[in-house]
Amino acid sequence: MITRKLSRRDTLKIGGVAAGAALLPTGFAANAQDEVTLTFWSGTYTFQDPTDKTKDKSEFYIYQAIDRFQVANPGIKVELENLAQDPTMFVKYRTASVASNGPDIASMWSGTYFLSLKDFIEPIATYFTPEEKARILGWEAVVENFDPNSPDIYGVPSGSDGTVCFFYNKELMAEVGVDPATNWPTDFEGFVSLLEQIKTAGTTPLGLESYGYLWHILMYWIAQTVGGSAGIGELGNGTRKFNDPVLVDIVAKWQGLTAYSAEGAESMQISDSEQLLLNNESVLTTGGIWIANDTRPVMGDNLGMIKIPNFSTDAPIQNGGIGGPGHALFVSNYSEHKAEAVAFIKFLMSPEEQVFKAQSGQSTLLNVTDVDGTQYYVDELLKTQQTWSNEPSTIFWPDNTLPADLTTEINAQGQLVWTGQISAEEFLSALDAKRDELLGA
Amino acid sequence: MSATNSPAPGMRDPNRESRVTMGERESRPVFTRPQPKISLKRREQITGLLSILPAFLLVGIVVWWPIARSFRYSFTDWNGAKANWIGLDNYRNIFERGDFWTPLKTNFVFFLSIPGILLISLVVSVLLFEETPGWRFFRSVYYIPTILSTAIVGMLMRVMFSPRGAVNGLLKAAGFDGLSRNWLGTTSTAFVVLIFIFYWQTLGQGVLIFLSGLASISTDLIEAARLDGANWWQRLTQILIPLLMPTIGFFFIFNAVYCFVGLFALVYTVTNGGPGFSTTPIDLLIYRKAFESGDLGYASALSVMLFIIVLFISAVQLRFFDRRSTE
Repeated sequence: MITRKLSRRDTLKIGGVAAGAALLPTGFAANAQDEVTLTFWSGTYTFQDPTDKTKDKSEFYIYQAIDRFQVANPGIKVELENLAQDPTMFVKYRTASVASNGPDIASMWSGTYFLSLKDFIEPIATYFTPEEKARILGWEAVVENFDPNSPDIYGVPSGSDGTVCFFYNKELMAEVGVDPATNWPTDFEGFVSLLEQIKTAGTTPLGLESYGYLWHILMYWIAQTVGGSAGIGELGNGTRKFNDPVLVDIVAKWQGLTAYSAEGAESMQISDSEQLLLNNESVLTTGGIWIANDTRPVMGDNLGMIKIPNFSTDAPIQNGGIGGPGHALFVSNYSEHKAEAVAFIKFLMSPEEQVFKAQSGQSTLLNVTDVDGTQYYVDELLKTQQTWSNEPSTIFWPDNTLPADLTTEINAQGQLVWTGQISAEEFLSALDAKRDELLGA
Repeated sequence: MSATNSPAPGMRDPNRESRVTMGERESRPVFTRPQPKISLKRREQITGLLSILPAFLLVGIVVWWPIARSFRYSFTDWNGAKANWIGLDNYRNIFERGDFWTPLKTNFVFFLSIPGILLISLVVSVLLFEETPGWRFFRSVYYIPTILSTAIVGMLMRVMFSPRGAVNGLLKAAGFDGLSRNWLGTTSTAFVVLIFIFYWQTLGQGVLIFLSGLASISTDLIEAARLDGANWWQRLTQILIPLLMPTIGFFFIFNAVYCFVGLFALVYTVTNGGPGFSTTPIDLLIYRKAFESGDLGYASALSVMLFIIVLFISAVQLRFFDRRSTE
């Protein structure tokens, strides 16, 4: 073993280096205190092109918006994390929030989905002036019980999904001699007749995915029959029963659509249903503006858009669809930078940014009164969707209206009734039972 | 001086002075080793405890503390933000709501499938041990699924068994159109797919375990049985299996625990608990209640119930296999 005695000079040198090293982190911390970093979890803004995964992130609106915000606000940095655009984003947020380890700002689906997280969300009413509030539409989607006058506002409605409809292959539709623009069915029987025509011509009529087969079609028909969001609310609070002969008839007839649908709709991903449309393996699929954004680059003018046929000409709501302000921006109540977080939200909702968003054609449609999106959208389909979204026949998302556990039950039982493992009555009875259990009846 | 004739510490020991001269005696101090305050045995005990203390603390913080907290939260309506004491309400709801029994049934379906994979693993292990032609190749091939991530395997299998997937494609190409179906769309076929994947991933682990067990068995015993006229099946059932009982017990208990606490990744990626809730195991139900519904108190109660069930089943199996091993 080599031993060496430290001289006084060596000791002083080592001590100086150690002291300097100890002070380094504090120096970095001091610099870090000058800059605020906001974490932003986005479950709604477009961040990739499913038909071209090589696109750089700078080509997407939300990244451009963040850059503009950072330039306008030196000292504030926004770190974006993109979430899967499905219910798992709420699971991730809840899990992180239990440990107060979630984001400062999040963008997710509105209504009961995000209201179930309200224990972790900062009430936002006091951050907005009446004028700022008045220019944004859709506040009922971010308050409890959907009361637009409620002071308990938990988020900012950040855009409209337009109206869910059918997207179709114009060429394949023309081959069977159907022009939806001039000759579209007005009830269920007419719709089935059209599907039969397509099937006879040798193509699968419907390419549906695991959300759309149930919520875009069945729940739309139920919603238009019970009078829209109010009726859906009655189903959720027990005022109206699911197991009603009128609704049983709707479900039973909807079950018949399996004969005209690509197999496996109850578990198919959106990307798979889009592929069926893109590959001419199906003629129709359901969805909103995201379908137009995803498939337009490939299908071009061959992509058509038409509203889902009414179930019956007697339904109180005609020629509509589900949709509306399905997205919200909100701030976590454990955020250490609430003021900056709200500033970022206000920036995204500002007239200037709404214009940029409309011009990009990405993400959601506009929901502000001082910018007319139809002046800026490049795609004609988006202009049509913006017009549709403002119509009273657009019914707010039923799954955003009903309690989350009831929505889960509908998703689960829907798989069984679609594949014929349970009857329409059994399906609706199960929903009544679950609703009653949640209400504590 | 003491009764033992040993000098007190620091005192002179006259026995050691016998060869020292008078002059040296005057100038050189003599010391005796002081008696230790703690005995050697005690010191070793303390050293041992201090050595395991860091690992013990780590396990306590990472494992036992969360278990204790789950137990406490099972008596509350904890939603992640607030927790109010509600007594036994969560446990009462578990039995009254009825949504506990279907997941338990799912776990038991997997549990009851363990003998099948056990037998397959045993047969394959014996064949490999006897070095049948190609044994080196097959030994690697059988182990590859075991090292793959369950989530990746699940996603792959979901695509393969989808209505337009490779399995139906192969069946149609081979002329078996009647066998092609929506594998994940009905409960019975969904279970077939899940059990197939469970077997596929467990085979390698079983082969590894049983090969190591077989390596401890004397080949003279097997040779003697062969010379006595025992065929392959007789050697397997009357010699190898009895001797492998401890190994079989380990395999069974290991996979039994997996069937109750390890199915989440597989089921979530393949069927997501569907169709309906028919393939939802208890751990997926716990996840749903905790993180999708936000009912963490209820989920904690479910976790406690699962803990008790696994504890009971493990205890029964340990007793069973201990007895078999002794016999």
